[in-house]
Amino acid sequence: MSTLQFKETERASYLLTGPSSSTALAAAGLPVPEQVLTAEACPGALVARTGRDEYMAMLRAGQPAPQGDWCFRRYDCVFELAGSGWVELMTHLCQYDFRQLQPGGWLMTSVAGVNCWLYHEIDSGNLMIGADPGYRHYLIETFSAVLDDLSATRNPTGGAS
Amino acid sequence: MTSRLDPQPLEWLDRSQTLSFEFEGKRYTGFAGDSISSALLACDQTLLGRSFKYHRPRGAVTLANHDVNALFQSGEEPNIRGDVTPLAAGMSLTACNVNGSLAKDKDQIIGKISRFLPVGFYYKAFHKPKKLFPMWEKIIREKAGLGTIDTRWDVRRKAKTYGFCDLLVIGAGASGMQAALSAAEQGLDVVIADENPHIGGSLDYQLVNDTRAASVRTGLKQKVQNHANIRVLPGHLACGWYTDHYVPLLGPDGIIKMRARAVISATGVMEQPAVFRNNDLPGVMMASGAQRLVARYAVKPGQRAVVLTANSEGYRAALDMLKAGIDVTAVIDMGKAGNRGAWADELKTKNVSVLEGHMVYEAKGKQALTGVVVAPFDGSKCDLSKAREIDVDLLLMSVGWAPAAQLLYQAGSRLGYDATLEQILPQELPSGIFACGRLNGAFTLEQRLADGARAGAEAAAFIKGEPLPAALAACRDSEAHSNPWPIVDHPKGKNFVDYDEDLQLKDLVNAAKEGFDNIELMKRFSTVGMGPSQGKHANMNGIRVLAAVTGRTIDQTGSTTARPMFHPVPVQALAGRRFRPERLTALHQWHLDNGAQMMEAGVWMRPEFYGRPEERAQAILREVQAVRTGLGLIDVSTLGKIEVMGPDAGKLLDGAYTMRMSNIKQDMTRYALMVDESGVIVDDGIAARVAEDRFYVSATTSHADATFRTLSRHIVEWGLDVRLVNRTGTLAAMNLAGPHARKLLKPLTDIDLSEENFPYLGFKEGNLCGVPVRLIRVGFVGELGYEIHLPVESAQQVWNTLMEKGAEYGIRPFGVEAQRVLRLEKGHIIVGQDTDGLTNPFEANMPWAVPLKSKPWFTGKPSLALLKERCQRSLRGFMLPQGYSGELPKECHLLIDSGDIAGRITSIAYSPSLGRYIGLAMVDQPLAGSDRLFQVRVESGALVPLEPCATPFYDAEGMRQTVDLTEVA
Repeated sequence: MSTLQFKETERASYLLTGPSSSTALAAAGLPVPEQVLTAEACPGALVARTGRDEYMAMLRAGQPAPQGDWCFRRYDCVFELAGSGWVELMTHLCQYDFRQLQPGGWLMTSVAGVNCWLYHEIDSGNLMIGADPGYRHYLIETFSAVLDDLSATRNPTGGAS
Repeated sequence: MTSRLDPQPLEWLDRSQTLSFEFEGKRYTGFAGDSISSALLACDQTLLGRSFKYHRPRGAVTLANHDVNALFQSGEEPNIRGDVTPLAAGMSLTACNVNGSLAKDKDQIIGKISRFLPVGFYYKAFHKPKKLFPMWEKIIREKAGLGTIDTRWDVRRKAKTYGFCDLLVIGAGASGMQAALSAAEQGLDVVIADENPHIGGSLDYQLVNDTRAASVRTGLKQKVQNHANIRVLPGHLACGWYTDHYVPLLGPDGIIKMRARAVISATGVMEQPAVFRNNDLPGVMMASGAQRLVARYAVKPGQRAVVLTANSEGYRAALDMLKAGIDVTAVIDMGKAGNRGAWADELKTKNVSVLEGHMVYEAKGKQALTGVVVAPFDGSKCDLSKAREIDVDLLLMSVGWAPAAQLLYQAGSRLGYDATLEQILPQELPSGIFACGRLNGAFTLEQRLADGARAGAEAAAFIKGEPLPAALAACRDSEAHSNPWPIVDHPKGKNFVDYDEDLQLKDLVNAAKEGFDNIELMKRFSTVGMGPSQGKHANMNGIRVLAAVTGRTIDQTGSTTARPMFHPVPVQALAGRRFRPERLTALHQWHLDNGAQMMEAGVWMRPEFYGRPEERAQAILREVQAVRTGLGLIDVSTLGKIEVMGPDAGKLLDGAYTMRMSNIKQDMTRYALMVDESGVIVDDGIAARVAEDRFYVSATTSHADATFRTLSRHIVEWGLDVRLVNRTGTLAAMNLAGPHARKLLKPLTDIDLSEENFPYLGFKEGNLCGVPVRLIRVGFVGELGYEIHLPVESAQQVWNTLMEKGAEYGIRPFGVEAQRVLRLEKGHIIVGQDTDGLTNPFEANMPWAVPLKSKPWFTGKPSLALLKERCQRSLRGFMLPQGYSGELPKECHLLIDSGDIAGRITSIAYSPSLGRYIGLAMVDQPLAGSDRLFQVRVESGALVPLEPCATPFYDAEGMRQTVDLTEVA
């Protein structure tokens, strides 16, 4: 738990919709997830399929952006929750059973009352959390408060981790 | 601490920490790990509280979170349960329910007149004469209730968390631990919760001195605490069961909302009192209560004791008291000692007298127990000819048990009376619910372990989808551990069935005889089981009494179900962590840096006005004036912004909004009014045509998400080929308004702003300050205005440029309040302020927005077609009389016509343009259609006249929208 960190991370986010969306992703060299509500990552990018022909793409700096008439820039605030205790932290903020969110898993749910997307990173094991930019301040305050509380009240709960 | 024993093997105390505290103004000391009650008892303070009704002296009874007559007040916190609340250094405590001091409670007098206060007396006595009822009510309210609420309380919250597991085991006694282990061994993710701060359950107090239990105890605890599949939650009370095995666990850090796939209830049993005269005196305790006191807190509950028993557990308690150095004078066995097993045999070797077939007829003493009168008992009454008195200061009752089955009842289990065990037992359990241990009739340690293993195996099989046949009765005992009638009548009464509510035997008998002979009726009339313990000690005997009076069986009499949460839960735990999402625009920091006073608008924070709070009115006037005469700039990023694309985009908007949208010309906008299926106004905004298959729709700040959801739903319902994108958070927006708006924008944009190219209600895409923008010619505030929509990342740059370049025109930022005044002068409504949850467009004077004839269908049209002829109220403009200087009406003040309510003010503000107060009011017919003056009742109660008038109040011809046309032409 002592290594648990909540930090903002830079990602340029896009929403693509319509029949040409998958073509636009492929043209930008981005993966196209096959199943709805799944995500695929590649170096520098994460693409999630959020509807029949709707996708969200989160790109690191330098990654070419997808193009298209129905491609919209989002300005999501994106955070990364790192450390072994993030599941416990999320139990304070979200009613999802995070034991179910396996590495590579994508989820759209309410966190602390705000609609968020979440991605369990495969390599790092970290949890990425994205939301509307207007909630950036609120989410930082809320996560910080829970982190403070957790660091102050750690109780062993038996042999299970 | 004169009653403190030497260290006990499993005591909860940390004797290295001595804690000082105060009770009723006197200083005491205890140890860390003590409860409040145990610390007081260790210091020989046996009087812990007063009873609810008669203010009788009361002491410790159970030490199991059920001692509702030992409630304490500490500062602002009332009703602290002393039997389980940990002692803390510096506590300053008083008793909860006393008039004066605990020792000299003036309300003891009520006990003297108890014969005049039978059960339900207040129902019968105080309703006549009616005029005196308020006086009685006041007196009753003062006397009723426990503790004192400090209305200056601090805000305290405890976080709520969500938990998940395969199997939740409630109760960490022998059977619960065994059940958890059995299930965990099969790979299940198990949580075991226990309300006590340490696991072990009755192993640690009832069997603390039983050598056979020692190795079992150690083994179980170690395995449970070290098992990789088990999470142990001591100090967590399962206080309710909700659908799909959702169980709130109340712990020291707040509530865990635990969702399990199955639940095992191993909650044990609650010891029940015997009913005899003065069975409530301090010194009369449950045998298990005395065992807890000794084993957990190392406190000697008395010096000289008798044990009243109807089971083997009473003999175990007698042995434990002997070991604690208490002189056990006698065991009074309601049955035969020969049936009681090894513990009874062991006691025989200790030379303790055993009175078989006897019962306690009466306890003696005033402030505490000094003796008991015992007599032969035939199962219903005592033979007083052979009664004798024994001097003791401690009487332990071990006459039976009731299952702690609240959760089972809530889950829909069927329970019934078992005549073999003389106890209510589970008979049929719902899917995913399991029970084991003493709750299920398994009493010996061997039975409990076997029953726990059985329940664990059944639960594991259920979760794996291979359910086993339920074998609920497989491990039950074959001997009764409860007496079917531990009750003896006494002509002088004071034989209490319910300690919470001071209900005597005769109270329940009389209630039944008065016709309240159904368990639910009796409960409500007599209040049995309705006190703070919720009948944990009263219900079983209450059912027995009712069954006896009515001649029914226990099963025929039935029982009541404790609702969740069945135990008091602090409000701070229910409240949980506060989640109040707050959404900020991209310009938020600029607003703060420039003196904005912020206000909430839905989840958003918006500038109310710019200036110091004490200058609010002047600041708003300055902002209004700037828009009317120069320039104003307002952040409207909070508006909903929805991109609507696809071949059926026009069809979607035609169906969703009242007016036709599919025929909007490209680069033009139209007012967009949304009503629901019943014709009620739910939102408004504008719809702009971006391309043949593309629209851009705005929505109100607080309804943007709902509008997006509504449109999304319609796409599915109507099978349309449309894509929506909610751009509310990713686009900023600002409204530049005022006669110089065009002059300011012209050099900054590549968009042709001429009236021919960009008329009122026009829409253009282009660049402003080098940033891609959408401009919309709007007129909400009644001046030449442009709404500028742009990416959030560029909002600050464009805003800064406009403020800088607009300085020569006297530009000012303006806030929500100035905007409200400006739009009111134009007579524009705000949905949600000038409309309510029932307002339709006809009432809001917007028939022009409802094309019933020209449009075949839209959502709400069938309702509006009917409502058009049934309009019962109307939104009307009004002014305060010229020169009026009296008390000002406010929004929501009521209009009064002939003494009746005839409407309400929805908006009112001072209009700088007109130099008087103007407003809108929703006025009932026929007043709305008349020319009569309205009258509004203001806060003082006075009636203030309002002059009805037409709207808009300002620039009715709309000339201001093209005010500088000649200058740019």
